[in-house]
Amino acid sequence: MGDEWRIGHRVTRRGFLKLAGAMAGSALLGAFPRLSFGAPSRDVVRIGVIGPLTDFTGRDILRAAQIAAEEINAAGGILGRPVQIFPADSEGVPEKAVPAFQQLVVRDRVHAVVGGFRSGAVLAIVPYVPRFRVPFIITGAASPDIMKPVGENYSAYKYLFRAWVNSTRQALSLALVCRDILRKQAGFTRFALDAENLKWARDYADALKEKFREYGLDLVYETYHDPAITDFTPIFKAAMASKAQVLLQVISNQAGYIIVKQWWDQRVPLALVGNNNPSYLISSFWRDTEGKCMYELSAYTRAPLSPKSLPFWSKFERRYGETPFYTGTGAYDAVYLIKTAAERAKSLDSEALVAALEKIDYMGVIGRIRFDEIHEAITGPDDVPVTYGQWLGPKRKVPIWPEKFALAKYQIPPWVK
Amino acid sequence: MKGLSIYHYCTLVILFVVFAVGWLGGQRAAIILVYGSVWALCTIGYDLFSGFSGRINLGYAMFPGVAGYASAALSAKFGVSPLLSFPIGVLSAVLLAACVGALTLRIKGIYFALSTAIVPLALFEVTRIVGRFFGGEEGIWGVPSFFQDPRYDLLAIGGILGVCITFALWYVGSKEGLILRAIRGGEVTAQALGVHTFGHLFVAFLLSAAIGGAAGAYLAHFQMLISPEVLHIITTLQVVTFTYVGGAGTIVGPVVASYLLVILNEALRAWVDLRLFAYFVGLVLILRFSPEGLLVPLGRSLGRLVISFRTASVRSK
Amino acid sequence: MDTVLSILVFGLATSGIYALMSVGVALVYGVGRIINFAHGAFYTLGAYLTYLYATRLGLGWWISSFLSIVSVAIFAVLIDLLLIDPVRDDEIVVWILTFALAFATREALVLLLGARPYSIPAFAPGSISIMGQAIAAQRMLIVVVSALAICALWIFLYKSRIGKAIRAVALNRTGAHLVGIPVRMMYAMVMAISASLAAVAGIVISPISVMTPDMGLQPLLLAFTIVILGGIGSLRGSLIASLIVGYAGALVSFLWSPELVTLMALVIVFAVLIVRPTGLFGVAVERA
Repeated sequence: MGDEWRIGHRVTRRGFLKLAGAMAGSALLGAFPRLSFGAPSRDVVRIGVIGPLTDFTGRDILRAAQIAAEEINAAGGILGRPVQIFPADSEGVPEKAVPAFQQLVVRDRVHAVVGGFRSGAVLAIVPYVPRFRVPFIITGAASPDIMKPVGENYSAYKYLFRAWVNSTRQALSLALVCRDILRKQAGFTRFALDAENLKWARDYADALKEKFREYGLDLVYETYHDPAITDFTPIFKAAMASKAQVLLQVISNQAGYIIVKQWWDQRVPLALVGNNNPSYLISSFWRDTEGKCMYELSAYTRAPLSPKSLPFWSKFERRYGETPFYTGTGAYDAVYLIKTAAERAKSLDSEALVAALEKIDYMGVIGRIRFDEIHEAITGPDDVPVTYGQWLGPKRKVPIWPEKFALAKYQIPPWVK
Repeated sequence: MKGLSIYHYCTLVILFVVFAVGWLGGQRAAIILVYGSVWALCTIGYDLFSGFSGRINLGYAMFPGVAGYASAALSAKFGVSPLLSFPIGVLSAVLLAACVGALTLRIKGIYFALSTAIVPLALFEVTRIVGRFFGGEEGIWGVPSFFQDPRYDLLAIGGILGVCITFALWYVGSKEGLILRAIRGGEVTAQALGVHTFGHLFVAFLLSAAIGGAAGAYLAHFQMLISPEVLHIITTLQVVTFTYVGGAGTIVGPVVASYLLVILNEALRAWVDLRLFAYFVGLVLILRFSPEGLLVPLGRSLGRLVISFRTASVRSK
Repeated sequence: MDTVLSILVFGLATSGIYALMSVGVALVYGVGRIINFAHGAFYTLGAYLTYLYATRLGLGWWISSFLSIVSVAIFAVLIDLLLIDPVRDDEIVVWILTFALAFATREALVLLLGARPYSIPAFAPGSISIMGQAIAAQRMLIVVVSALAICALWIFLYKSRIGKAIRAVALNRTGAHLVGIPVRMMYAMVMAISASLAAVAGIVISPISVMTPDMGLQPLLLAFTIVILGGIGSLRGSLIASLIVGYAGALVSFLWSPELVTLMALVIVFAVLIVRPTGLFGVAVERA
């Protein structure tokens, strides 16, 4: 290998080598200023945005944060200083999330970080929080384990906040839907569960099973699928074999498109209910599944959670042509949370921000945001609610639950039961 | 041996530069250089076996992978001290190498490469199937780190790197290295000459595993996390690439290439979107136009340049 | 009974896709003597280009598919002539180069279209009822298309002059060169065929699945395991191995869990490599 001469291409190679050497050299020179004197201007309020920024799940974090920054800057900024957003792509995976977070706090020296998606990625970041002591408002990861350190080691982890509903409370919502709509209204008694094999989904499933025991609901089949799954047929068959009537799905990635299409094509005699992240893309999901999502009942729909909700959705849709993903609405509110906290504390210092955030009571797009003792957002129909909607037409995911926002009654798919 | 002393000097220069830049450049520089050092360590392990014996180990990722997961699981889930879990991790990599080597080293050529390639792929699947323990796609987080300041991490891994380079250089310069090169020249010929190829390959395989394992275990503690990515074929191919660009069969060349390419990767981070694309396109171009790697021919060109200056100055006198 | 029927159809459709992918790999190795890690890129591009031609250029779905296959074939030929051919003799370089190419393609797709998973509508819409079971018509289409494609390939290789030339190159490169066969062109042709098959696979599976830039990784892995099982370089081996792996996978999916399929394939292949590396039908030279 290394020692042997390759015959031929001698002239081209030498020329190219010089070029390649020059390229590498200049890249190195380019790297060094970044390594040693990268000290950004301290006059600007720097807010870092982290998440899978090139994926549909995280792209809206950046977009929404930018809208918030523009609005704030137009109104004079935070404490008179302009806001600048710094993006860092975590790709939703832990091994990229850690360098992304380090980039934000070490290179970009942000005052606060907003975003995060996928509990595995965020949990990987958590140990770095005490080292850097920068407030991190999480808007997209649901595992309860993320916020546990706040309770166990407050002084080190108090910088963590979650402005979203954790998986335990999401599971509670689904359990209530199962009890009050599926059992009471539709008369279903036997439920099957299919969750993706990711941390947040396993936590969700655990919490759901507990609630099911409490409400006396019957779970006849339970399975976890690989997130990269391409065919749900075996799962459908197994659920049907257990005589289930409802299939509860817990999916956060592109498998959400697949399950719906295959469910429809095979006329699976199970009501499809649960959490399907792609279905949050209300403006495009129907089209991308050729309408095969009809009758699916799943989380997240357009509803007036607060007076700010619908105006923000409309503004976002006008600008980007699509409905905002939930990580986006959360990020929009999170930027405003930082502004509100900074103005109350009259400072951008981490300790001051944390203290102000703890006492905050802010009406955001996602609802009324207040934090409890371990910095979890208080959730419920009057706080940050989880909404469920049923697909009944193109771009029409009609709110069914909670009662407060319901616009129609749940319809059983015609080929079920 | 004349060749050996140049390599030793190179090593010292590299390590010195790396430490200096890392220490003075601040946290960010140190973090980048630690990643560079981890890759460098991987390439040493890879080059020691594949670079010298000519047997391509396409499953190299299994060594840092197993060691990383073992050390991470022991320390994060069972509370074992990192100082203990680290060597246990390295040991598990060696044990895996012993099992895999025993089964696959007898097979030659492309089939060897393919059979070794399968092991990390299978382990990758296992981490997903036994998701609750190994964390599936998300890996194991909350792994205790050795230090708070990445600059101390740089010292630590730099030390490990120094030890491994020295050992590797000594090993390949010894009779063992000669035998490996003989095997690379022609395995059947070597066997015909009475060389017990299997035994020598086996030992080199285990050493390769130990070094690769050290890299993986250290990475787990540095990142405070281990993820299945470390078992992916991309990891092996990246190690192979770095080795190739640096010049396989030199030990030191791949080390330099690792640092350069990791720094290049970071420098390109500014072009958030284009970065990876440019990186891979660049790689394709390099391989197409300079299959021998970049650094070895570069070194030779520089050497010739120096000689031509000398002759010119002699002539002008 | 219900499950048996599912396994039968499911296994057949899966085997079809595997066959399309692995036959291409076997062909390229048998004739071109290279392992092309970028093979998954052809699969992915087949689907994406179809989507792009249909939505950006407003062409019909069938025309878009056809154009997409042609585009992928041209792309493959260009890669072969410009990038692979000069370094063909150095195995490792080809591996790394094709791997880098696969990722460059992936990144290009992410740059162009990244943000969300895309969909192609089914070519055979709706469901058919077979023995009281609703099966997506597209799944049956996959079976039909794969069978047709493989037959077409067979006829081409064994009944046409060019096919004969290709087989000659697989048997003995120097000999073929000596009798005047343009070897480089045969390499390029084989790349084009293999890429086309992969593109077809990508196009027919997308309607019942979803398109992401990474979609080519898993099929690539399985294609390689199948080729090894069947014997590298043996087309017949690849076909039979596709059926074996397809059905074994279906059984494992339905009886245990879909998660185990890849591991099962890997274990089989590892065993094959240790015990009988040349696979079921593998010989260094392809025999009809």
